Amino acid sequence: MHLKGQKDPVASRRWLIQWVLNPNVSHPRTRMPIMHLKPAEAARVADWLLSQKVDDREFQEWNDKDVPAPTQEMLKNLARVYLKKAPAVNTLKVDEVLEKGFTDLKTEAPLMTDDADEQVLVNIKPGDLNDKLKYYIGKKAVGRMGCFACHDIPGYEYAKPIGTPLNDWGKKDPARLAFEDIVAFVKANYQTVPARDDPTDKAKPAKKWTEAVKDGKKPYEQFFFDALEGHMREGFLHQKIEDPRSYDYNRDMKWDDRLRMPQFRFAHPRRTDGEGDDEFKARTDQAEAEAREAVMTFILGLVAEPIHPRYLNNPPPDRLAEVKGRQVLEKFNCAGCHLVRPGVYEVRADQQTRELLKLSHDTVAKGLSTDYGDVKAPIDFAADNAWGAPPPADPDRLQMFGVRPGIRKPTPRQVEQLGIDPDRDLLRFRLADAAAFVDPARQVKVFPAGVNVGVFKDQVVSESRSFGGTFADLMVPYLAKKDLTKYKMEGEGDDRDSNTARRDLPPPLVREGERVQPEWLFTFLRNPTPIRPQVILRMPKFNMSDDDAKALVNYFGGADKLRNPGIGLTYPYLTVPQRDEFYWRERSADYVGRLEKAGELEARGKSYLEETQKRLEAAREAATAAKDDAKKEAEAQRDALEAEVKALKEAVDTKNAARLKKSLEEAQLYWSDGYRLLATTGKSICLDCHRVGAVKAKEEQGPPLELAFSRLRPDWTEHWMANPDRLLTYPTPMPQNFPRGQLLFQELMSGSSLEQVGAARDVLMNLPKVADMPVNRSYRAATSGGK
Amino acid sequence: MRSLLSAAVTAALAVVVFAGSAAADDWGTVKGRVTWGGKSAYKPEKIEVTKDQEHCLGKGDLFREEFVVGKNGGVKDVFVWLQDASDPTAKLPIHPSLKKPKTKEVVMDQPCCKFVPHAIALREGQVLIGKNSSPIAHNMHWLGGDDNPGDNKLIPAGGQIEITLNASRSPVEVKCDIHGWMKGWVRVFNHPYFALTDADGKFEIKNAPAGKYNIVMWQEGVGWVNGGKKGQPIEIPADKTVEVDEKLKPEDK
Repeated sequence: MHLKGQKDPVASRRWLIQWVLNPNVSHPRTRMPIMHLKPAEAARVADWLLSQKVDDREFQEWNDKDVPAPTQEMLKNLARVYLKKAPAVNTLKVDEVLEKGFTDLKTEAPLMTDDADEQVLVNIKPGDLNDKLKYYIGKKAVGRMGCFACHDIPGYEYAKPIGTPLNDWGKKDPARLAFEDIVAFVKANYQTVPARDDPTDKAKPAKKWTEAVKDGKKPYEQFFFDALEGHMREGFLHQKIEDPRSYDYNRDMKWDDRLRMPQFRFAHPRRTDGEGDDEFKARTDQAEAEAREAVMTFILGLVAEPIHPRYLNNPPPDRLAEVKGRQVLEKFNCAGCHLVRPGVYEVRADQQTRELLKLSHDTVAKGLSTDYGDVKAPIDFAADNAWGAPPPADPDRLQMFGVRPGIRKPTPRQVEQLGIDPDRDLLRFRLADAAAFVDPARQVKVFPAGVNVGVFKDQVVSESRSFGGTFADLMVPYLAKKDLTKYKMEGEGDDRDSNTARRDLPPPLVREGERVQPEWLFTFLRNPTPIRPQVILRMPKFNMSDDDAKALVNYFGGADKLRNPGIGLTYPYLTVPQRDEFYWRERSADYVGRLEKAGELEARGKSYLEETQKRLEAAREAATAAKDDAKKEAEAQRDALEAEVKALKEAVDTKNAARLKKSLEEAQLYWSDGYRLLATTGKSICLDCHRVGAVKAKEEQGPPLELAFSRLRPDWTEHWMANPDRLLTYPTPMPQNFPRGQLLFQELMSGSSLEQVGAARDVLMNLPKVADMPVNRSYRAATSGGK
Repeated sequence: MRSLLSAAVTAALAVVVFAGSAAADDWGTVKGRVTWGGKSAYKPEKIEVTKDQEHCLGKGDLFREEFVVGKNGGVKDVFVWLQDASDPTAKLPIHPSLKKPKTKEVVMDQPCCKFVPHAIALREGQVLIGKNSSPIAHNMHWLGGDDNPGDNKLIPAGGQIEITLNASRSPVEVKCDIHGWMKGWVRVFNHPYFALTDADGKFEIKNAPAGKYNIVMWQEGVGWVNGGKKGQPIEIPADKTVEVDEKLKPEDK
């Protein structure tokens, strides 16, 4: 967009501010999104845009030829051109219409259709004539010149293309081509040369080609001249693209009957240092001729013959979803802000590379014994490609997926232990997926995702960089500069980054399909709502159609299903087994059984009895205080609690394990204890950073957990809580809250770390229902300081 | 790497005594002091505590520890160590009394929403105990480059974890993401000739091998000081003490 030509700078600024605030006001179908800016912010953006210096030379011509406003006479003359061609409007009528418009189109021009452009000229009020004429001329001109073919212009959605169909042009009979006096034109304006390219260096024009340019004539390849002279379609097409209106040469016609195909310019070479005018022009003409030939090749190939199904790309559904989604990703430039795909690195695994990887693996494994690499226990989620990877098909050739690559030298420890050259470059990246390799002792080892791996740069066979996230990458150092305390850069060299800045910037979309529920993503794409409280940029609202949003949802589903087949991802529909009634009961029974096995049944029974007794006291008070209709309900609650306490007390007092188990199962202890794990003020770790419904966080750093119910997929939620670092492309500030092998938060919920992770996942997938359980309602009221 | 001339710190080597050339089995002492050389007087910066105020501020305000400068101008928590003058990776001769580390474990606690001690210098083989003696939960998130890839673990109230670290030229940054202002630093060496400056900015390295070495310093606020990664040449006389005084200039970082 260029606003320099605007006469009124105040109006320009006002328009631009409005555009930045909400572009849909000016253009309902624009791809420019709504950025959720405040007016003052939009004004600053507009001021910055208007302050940018532009190369005025480019617009000199526009300024010089500033056309004066047309007079009414001019408008009438232009409108006359079109009116005369309108059905059943004779010359006399034209003049009458141009004075006062039509009075009744149906009687004056019965052949005119209801949507005819001339409808605008009916019943023109005095003073409106100029505007009506301008509208009429504009509408006609756009239709006639075919502007709608490239531009999105409302009202022309179903307009017919103005050009000839090209779908079978490649076999068009040359006898049906109007060559007119084209040979004379070419002879008068061009100089034929034997060839275009220099035979010794095809990048340069042939000697005679350059000489023709120096002579002041455009060079013309002999081959195409012969084809033109022989009335062959190659010759016709070549000249049609070279100069479309040349076919009007020596033809007697009105100005508005001239050919309308635009003169395209395909090649835009840049002048090299020291290149003279003639040389540059010759090279430009050569590049243009080469591009023209490419376009010709395509058009001549359009022969409208059906392609054999064998040669048609018929991808499987997941791949098709990926391909279709990529088009939408590109349309809205999603990859500008978000990292969409990790890079792929193929590495030769020679002996020294294996030794290097073995040392890295040993180093990494030291710190990972709580979820990984411990030989005594299997990997938690081996089927997920963030934890597990199949052995390499070829032990000598590794394929790794990674992000944020950088070159660095070996550390002194690596030099000392492996005896490698300290100056040998290493390519280092953060693994986005787990990667397997065969160590020097022929043992298969696996790096989990989320760790940094270095390989010898000279052993990298192929490298395909990650796709997307440029804006986020640029913003990291900017934020660090702006607020060094909050967004401190960490690490050295290529490794320097700020994970707190990453947390506040557009998130990576790697594993997005694994992470989110398709229905939620669809709704979010159509109407983005805030998720994380601390982000500095909100997801803009794009003018995305339902089809576009669907294509993106399917893209993420399809791409992740292909990349991570082990997790059994389904899309576009998702079932959440944790919401099944049978699952609900099964978990309750399992949990109570677990308590019994661990010898904790009696103690938990007692403590639960005490909790229930407290609730009963509160219920009794509530029943006494309640009035009218509420009294009945309060009394029913009190009675239910009386019965529950009675049954529990009998079971505890008689030490009857079977009855106690039954009571605790009926009380759905699994779900209430799971909720305690998430939402106990002062004890639950989640509440340090996340709000859980009505229960506030100490300091909100992450999304509210009630969002998980509709937003997150159950498996991803479980894997994320087990170890968040595996699933993100940067070191997340979210800690591993349930480290494997450690028994934490037993006072809230009994069980191993993985059992606690599973319970937290189950509760999140049922959060509205669990939070509304009577036990949790009163419990929440007591611990969060009241509703 | 910084050149010696453009170092953030103006080195003022004051050699007290030299007595002939040092043999491999001669030992000396290196001691010195790092003082504040900033253009303006150091002012402690109070931290805005955004959560758990009751506990975190229970023992008084918290201050940023990027620079800790005592009343007499001494800078605390500057890592100081020796390395071979020509090959930074070469092993140093080790005094018989220092063959093994004196303690197996070194504790970094989080008693009141800060890491105590704020900086730790470890010898490879020693285990870092990440402790949380406070009544609230903290996490320990450490990152130390290729030699110490790091992790991010929760430490509940009263809990602790063990962290095994490798000797590395890269420092290990430790932080608590729950309380974003909490930072700490650890460096791990494969020899015993390292020290951290105390509250007066003083340090002392005893039983150092006599001869020509480089003395290297690193401080979190300015990074490498005193000649960059290579350090400054120093000659350690046998059975004597060499003194090194430095000034820290944060403006030059």
